[in-house]
Amino acid sequence: MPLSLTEESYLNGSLSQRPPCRPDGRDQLQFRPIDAAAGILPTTNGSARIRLDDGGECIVGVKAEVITVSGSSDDVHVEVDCDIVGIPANSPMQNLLCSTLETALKNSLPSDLLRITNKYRFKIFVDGIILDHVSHPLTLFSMTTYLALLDTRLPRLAPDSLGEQDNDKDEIGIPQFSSDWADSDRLCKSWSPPLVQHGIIVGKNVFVDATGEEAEVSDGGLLTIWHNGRVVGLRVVNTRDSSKQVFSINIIGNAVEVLANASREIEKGLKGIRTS
Amino acid sequence: MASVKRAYNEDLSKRLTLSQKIFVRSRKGKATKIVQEHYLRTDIPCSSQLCPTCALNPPKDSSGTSRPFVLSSDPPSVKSWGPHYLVPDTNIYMKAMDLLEHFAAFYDVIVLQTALDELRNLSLPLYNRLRALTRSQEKRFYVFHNEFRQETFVQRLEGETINDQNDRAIRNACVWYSVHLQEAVAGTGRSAPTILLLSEDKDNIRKSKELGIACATLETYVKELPQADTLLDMIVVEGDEDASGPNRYSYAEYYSTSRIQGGVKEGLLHQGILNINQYNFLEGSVPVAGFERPLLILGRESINRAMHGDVVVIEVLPREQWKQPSTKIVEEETVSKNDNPEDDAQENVVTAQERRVLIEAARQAQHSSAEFRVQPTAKVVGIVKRNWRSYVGHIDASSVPADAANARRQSSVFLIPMNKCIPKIRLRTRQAINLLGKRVLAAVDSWEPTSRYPEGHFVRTLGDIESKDAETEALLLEYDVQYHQFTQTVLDCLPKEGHNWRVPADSSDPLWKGRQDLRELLVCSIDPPGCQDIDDALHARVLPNGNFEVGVHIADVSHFVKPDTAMDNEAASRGTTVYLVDKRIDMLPVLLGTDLCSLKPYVERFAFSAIWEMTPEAEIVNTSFTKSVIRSKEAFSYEQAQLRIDDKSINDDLTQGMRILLKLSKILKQKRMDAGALNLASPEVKVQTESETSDPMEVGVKQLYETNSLVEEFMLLANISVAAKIYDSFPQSAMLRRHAPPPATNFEVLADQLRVCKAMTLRCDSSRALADSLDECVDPDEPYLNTLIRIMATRCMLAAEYFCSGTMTYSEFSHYGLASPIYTHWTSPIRRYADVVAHRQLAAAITYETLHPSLRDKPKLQRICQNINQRHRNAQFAGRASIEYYVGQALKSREIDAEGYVMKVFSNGFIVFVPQFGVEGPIHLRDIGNPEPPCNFDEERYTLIFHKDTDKETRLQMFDRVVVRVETVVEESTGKRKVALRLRKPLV
Repeated sequence: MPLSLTEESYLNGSLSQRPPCRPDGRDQLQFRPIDAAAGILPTTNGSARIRLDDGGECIVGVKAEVITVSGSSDDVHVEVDCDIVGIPANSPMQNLLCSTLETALKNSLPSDLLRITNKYRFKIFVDGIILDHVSHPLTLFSMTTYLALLDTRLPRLAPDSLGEQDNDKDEIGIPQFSSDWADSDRLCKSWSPPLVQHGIIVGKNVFVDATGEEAEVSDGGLLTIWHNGRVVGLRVVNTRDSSKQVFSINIIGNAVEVLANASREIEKGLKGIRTS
Repeated sequence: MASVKRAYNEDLSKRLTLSQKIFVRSRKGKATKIVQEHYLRTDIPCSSQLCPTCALNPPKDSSGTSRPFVLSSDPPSVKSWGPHYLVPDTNIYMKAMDLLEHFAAFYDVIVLQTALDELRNLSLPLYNRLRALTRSQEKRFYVFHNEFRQETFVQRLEGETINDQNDRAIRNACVWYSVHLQEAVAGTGRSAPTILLLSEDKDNIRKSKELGIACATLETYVKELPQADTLLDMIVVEGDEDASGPNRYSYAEYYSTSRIQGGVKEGLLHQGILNINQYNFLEGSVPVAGFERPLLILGRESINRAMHGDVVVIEVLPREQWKQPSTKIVEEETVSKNDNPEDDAQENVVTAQERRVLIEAARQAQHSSAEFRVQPTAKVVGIVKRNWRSYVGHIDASSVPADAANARRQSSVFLIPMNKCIPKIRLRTRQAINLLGKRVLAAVDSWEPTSRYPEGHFVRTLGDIESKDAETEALLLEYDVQYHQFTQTVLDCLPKEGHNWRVPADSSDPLWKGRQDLRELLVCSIDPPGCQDIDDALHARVLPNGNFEVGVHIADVSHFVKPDTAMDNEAASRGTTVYLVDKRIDMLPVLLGTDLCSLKPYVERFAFSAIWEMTPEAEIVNTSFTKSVIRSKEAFSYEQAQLRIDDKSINDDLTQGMRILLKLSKILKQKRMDAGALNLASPEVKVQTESETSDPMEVGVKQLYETNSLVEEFMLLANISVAAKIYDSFPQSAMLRRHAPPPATNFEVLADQLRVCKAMTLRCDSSRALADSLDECVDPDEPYLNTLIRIMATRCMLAAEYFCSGTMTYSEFSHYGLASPIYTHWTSPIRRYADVVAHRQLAAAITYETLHPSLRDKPKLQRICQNINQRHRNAQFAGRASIEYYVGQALKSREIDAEGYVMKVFSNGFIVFVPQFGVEGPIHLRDIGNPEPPCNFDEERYTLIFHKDTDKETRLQMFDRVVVRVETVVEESTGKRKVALRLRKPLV
């Protein structure tokens, strides 16, 4: 149900105060409680589910497939797909979610993590479904993907698969994997996945984990891509269907800092979750 | 939307717990994570007849029956452990399958699912043997699904390897069984049998002892049994011993699996089946797709532990190492290590690109006929599938150490296999002295790179060398002929009336439905003398319109052998009846083969008839097929039939009919020849045996009558007609037989030999051209030459094979030898399984019955074809080997001079073929004079020039006629009595 003009103006007013006042009394950087679990889909290489307090729910499964490449290309092969229940396929929202995550992953994932031989690579498929959402689903999807990737394991080569003395093993050898799943390697042994954070701007204030109403009265939204302890990417997004969404350029520096702090906290929280 | 799964049966769901198993399947470079979930149950029985609890509520299958309990209430007993049930660890199955199969020991065995699964991953053949044991009732092997029972299931612990988990599961099951059986016998006053764990794993034994489980190694257990020595010999050996010994040897390691798979996929390595040259055990060849000719593998190093029949992966060697195929006769016995050219070639690092160039060059070299003598060679770099089986041979007396008589001491000896393509096998045995002079069956276990010879173990003795029973069994084993008795389940499929079964007298009986009454026709059968399994019978008569009616009547085997019965499966697995000189190994139980199906004279029999209307010019006007009832008027031998036809004074209707048949068959044959059918020859001899002892008396060449060809022509006609009919009805699944045209390269050597030595030409661009040029290869001075060339041409051909029509295109169906576009086998269902299938398909094609689903199943038919092709080949080999043995026996202690022909020339000898006895054998130069006469080998002209008695020069060329002394000797290398030839004089 859309907000009435009075409601909208009241909410906007209280959010733009300094210090602001959120309807549920939260701090600017405070998340609502989430319920997260990893390793819920046994047939995937890694998986996770996160449920939000407002009923939003997302499940992500990560699959690793062996592909052949020609030449010794350094491309990172990642494909991200996400269904959002209630929104038709190929909607702008879906494209935003998939392309943001895919780009973030491709830019941050070192190619040698997925290299098997000169000819063989792992390709990572991230498949998500957002079962329900009230607020902007990107943070939810990113967090779930982050957790699923933490949970992801890649099969290890069998000990005798590629003999040491084979001069041309990288040219012709076909990899053989150990049949023991316990023998697999964590994808995130030496790498942390990127985390995308969605924030809204109201006046001079920045908020994370905005509720639907908060987003509706905001002046605009901002996405930051957090990787290895710093923000590596930025994107401005609309938060409602209005061409009037404008915010001051001066706010961006502050906003990035706020979202970075939020990302750091979230990353800490997600890393504490037990993975399989 | 949420859904809740609710078990409909509360009680059941309480008993079921879910367990999960996760593993990775790695195939074709892909890695797939597999998750298996299964429910843990509490009702899987212990299957001991002592246990009243499990017997109360045994699980039932879908038809509501439960399996009988297997383990005896009174199991065998040994001194140390008393009555016991055995629980073997996986390593016991790996090492002692021959022991487990032995009738003298190993009863009441609990096969744990954990061990069974592990075995399947390690060795599929052993797994299949164990499965067969669990099915046989007499050995009392019970598969206990310990991983599905709640109490015996073990969860993998953190950091535990799969092996450790499996060992723990095995120990856990032992503990459960012990406690369970104690409870079962409690209060009955009986004591429970010991659960005895057998394992070779020290760690497992130690941990079992800590848990109080009775356990033993194989050796300690077997030593408690009677016949311990024989049994201990049957344990698989591990090939580690001579790694440090003086005769240390070193083969190249095989390439890794990944490199082999990748290489084959990229076309840098090639996969094929290794054939060892029977005249030279150091020369092998591998036919490979993409090469016109098989690639040569020369020398022990290049053959690299591969054995005849193994599926190997090979790599083309550098050009400097390409060689001509050997021109020498080389036997393993005569080759000492020094003679064996070691390949010292530098192991260069060759890039994939260079290798591609090399392979292309190899193809070129094979193609350019100018230098067809220098051939690319290759070496074995990996083995995809071993073709190891049990081998029959004898113990090399010289390898038995002097102190072997010292009982109970294990010594290493060599087993020399009968098959010359198989290398010596090292056995370790405690009974070396007893095994001398016996035919011995042994199995190969391993061939380590450090061992010059493969390691094997003793299986059993067949009897004395040269005794008829041992030699017959030996050749049945060598050619993998299934000669065991038919099992009871198979015999249960026979009609209950036994020999009293009759065609129902009342023609309204359901069995008569769809059958034509042909009892009045003048049908007779013509077969070899003494034939009991009469498959076919014929009739012919004049029709009012001047045309002829000709009928071929075939035993109606498919009436008695229904699809998917035990008898059908057994027949499909045997594939064919095997004829030895004194013995017949039947495909079907004798009741059917020689009585109920056999078209015996004077009795009514069910038949399947093909009936044609033909013009006097043998043009077919009309063809029909029908199930029928016939009554054969007479069973002739070929000779009797010939005499009757030739006897002008006999003019009854039956004889007239036979004359019509003969006349038509001659026209049919001429038509076939005009179409380009080949008239091929194989050296056929016949051994006459004394009827009571079946000792061989006389060897002679088989005599052929016109009636042989009479029967043959009508059988061909019937087969072709049926092939067309079943292909028309079932284009995807018809059982057909094809004979592919041989590649022209097969004839190159023979054509060159004929051109050089006899100035004759052999054309092979079509079967017609070949047939015609064979007809022209006549030398007025050498009447036998033409037959000889036909024999040699036959050897250049490919083998005919059964196939399922859906797997080939129509143009590939053609039968080269018969020059027919389509062909099948339909006329001998008693002795060939393909014919049984064709019968069923024809019966369905004429809507006599519906087609059984298994006959539409293309993959299944393909498997059947593969099997019967193999069985068919082996049956031929076994038959020939049997004749060879009897020829040897018949000529024993006799010396005869006979004429022979040079069939192959080597630089140190030649091969001579003696038509009179159908034998061929080598004559070595070293046997002609002592010292070996100097010689000159003109390879271009296939001529060997040597000085026999210092002065006179002897020239021997291909196809030359010679007189040889035929005698028999026991061949040292194989222990076979073989015909030995000595050159008396050349007749040039």
